[in-house]
Amino acid sequence: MNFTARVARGIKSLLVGLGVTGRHLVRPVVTLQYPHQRPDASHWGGPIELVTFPETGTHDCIACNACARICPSDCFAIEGKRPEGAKKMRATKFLIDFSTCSLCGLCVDVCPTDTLQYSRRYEDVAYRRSLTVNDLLAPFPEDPYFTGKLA
Amino acid sequence: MRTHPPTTDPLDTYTLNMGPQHPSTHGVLRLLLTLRGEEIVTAEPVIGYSHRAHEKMAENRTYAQFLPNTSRQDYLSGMIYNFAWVEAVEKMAGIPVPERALVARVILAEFNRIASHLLWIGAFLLDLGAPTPFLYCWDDREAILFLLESVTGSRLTYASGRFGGLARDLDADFPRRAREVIAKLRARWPEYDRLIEDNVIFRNRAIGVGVLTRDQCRSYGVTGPTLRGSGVPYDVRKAEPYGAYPRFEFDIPTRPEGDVFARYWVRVQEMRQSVRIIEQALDQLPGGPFLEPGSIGVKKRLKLPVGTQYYAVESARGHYGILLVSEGGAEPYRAKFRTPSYPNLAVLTEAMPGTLVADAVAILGSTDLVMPEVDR
Ligand code: SF4
Ligand code: SF4
Repeated sequence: MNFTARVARGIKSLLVGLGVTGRHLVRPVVTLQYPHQRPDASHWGGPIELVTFPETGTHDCIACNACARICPSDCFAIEGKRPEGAKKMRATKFLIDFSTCSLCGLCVDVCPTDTLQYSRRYEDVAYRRSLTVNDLLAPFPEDPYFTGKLA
Repeated sequence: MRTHPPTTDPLDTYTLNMGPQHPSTHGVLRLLLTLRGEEIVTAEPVIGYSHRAHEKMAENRTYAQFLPNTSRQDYLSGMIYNFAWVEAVEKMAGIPVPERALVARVILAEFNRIASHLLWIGAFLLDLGAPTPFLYCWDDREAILFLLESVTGSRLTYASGRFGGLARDLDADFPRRAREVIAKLRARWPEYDRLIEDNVIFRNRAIGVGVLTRDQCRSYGVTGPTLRGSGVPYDVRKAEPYGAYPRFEFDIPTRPEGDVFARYWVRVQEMRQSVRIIEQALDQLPGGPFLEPGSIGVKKRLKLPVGTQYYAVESARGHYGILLVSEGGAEPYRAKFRTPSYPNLAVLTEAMPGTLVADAVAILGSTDLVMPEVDR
């Protein structure tokens, strides 16, 4: 190809490219205008939380520590007590250090009572490291198994 | 290629550190460049900045506990690495995998490959000074990430493989959403061709630059699109088929030139082949369980029989291999990972001398390095 033809071809390729961007200018905006618009987080696997079962209105953690044993990052600190007359233990302390959690979901899979799940939270922020420790029992101020409402 | 007689006079040259915080090295790579003016005399990669001892970590945790580590070796095609680990363990332990999980793994892995290539195209062209394609690639990639998130819950570092299947099933609506994403990708391809492949600036910066010959690739163990851009049709999915790949029809795009443009072209074509595989897989997606019934998943500690085994997959960057040595315990005795980026980086010591600094950026970008994978 001679020089003029090459220059002409080059300029044409640039104009064609410009045409592509030009067409995008009039297409609908694809950017999500956060925080006015929110992403669909219905499948998002966020920080681990305890499931609330509708039948009992509370979680079903028996403090078996299976999750703590499988967790690759040693996130858990769990303590439990046996309510009087009950067969199973109940968790009295349940902390997850989210700063070391890799959201692998192994704890969710291993729990024998299926009481762990991913939350849908995606906006957790903390200024101090100590604040990244989540108290999973915080949403359950009263345990019906200990107050005798459930046995 | 520009050729100048090599110089040995130390006063004639100077040394430049490119990286480890240079934006075009895509992570923490330091290139020790010896320059004569603008011309590169030698290029020496200095690595190890993101070494996290994944191989050592594998030795002190159970097979299940290593799952989150896998996708953090190559965070851009984490799904492929995650499934590679799962399949390596399954093969060694003889765990059966239901059909549905096998096919679903192919679908998810191929989507991940496309997402990885899209990110590469965007970032690579950004290196060359073209920010526009980056935005379009990101838009497409976002659609894929959203689709993968709907199955796995994660966007980048997946841990969705389980021994004997998957952590979550593909929902009933998944094939429809997957086809929607494919339609979106397809619609964009002609645009990429017009915007990038025919662009005079891109062609001038890519054609004939950073040529790697077949023999150079072979002697360094280069694999993946970089090797196929040098005309060698080697792809683990064809050479040593694994999983459900033998059932699907696809071609291995190759190009003989071995330059930056060839590597770009191969990746663009590979995305089309991946879509071909996904479409066949969606058509054939069987019903049934996604995790082998009665299989242990991760609930019980898995112990592997005594022995040694090698398992390889084709990642977005090339041949990824896992050498597992078990002494019968719940933890591997040794796990060695053969990551494709390492030889792909090593070969650059041969491709770079004689080129200009601006070409070094193009060559480096064209090999699609992921530094955490080089260092592991
Ligand atoms: S998701 Fe993984 S890392 Fe996080 S708490 Fe559960 S087991 Fe540990
Ligand atoms: S595995 Fe389930 S029941 Fe056991 S301690 Fe963990 S959350 Fe509680």
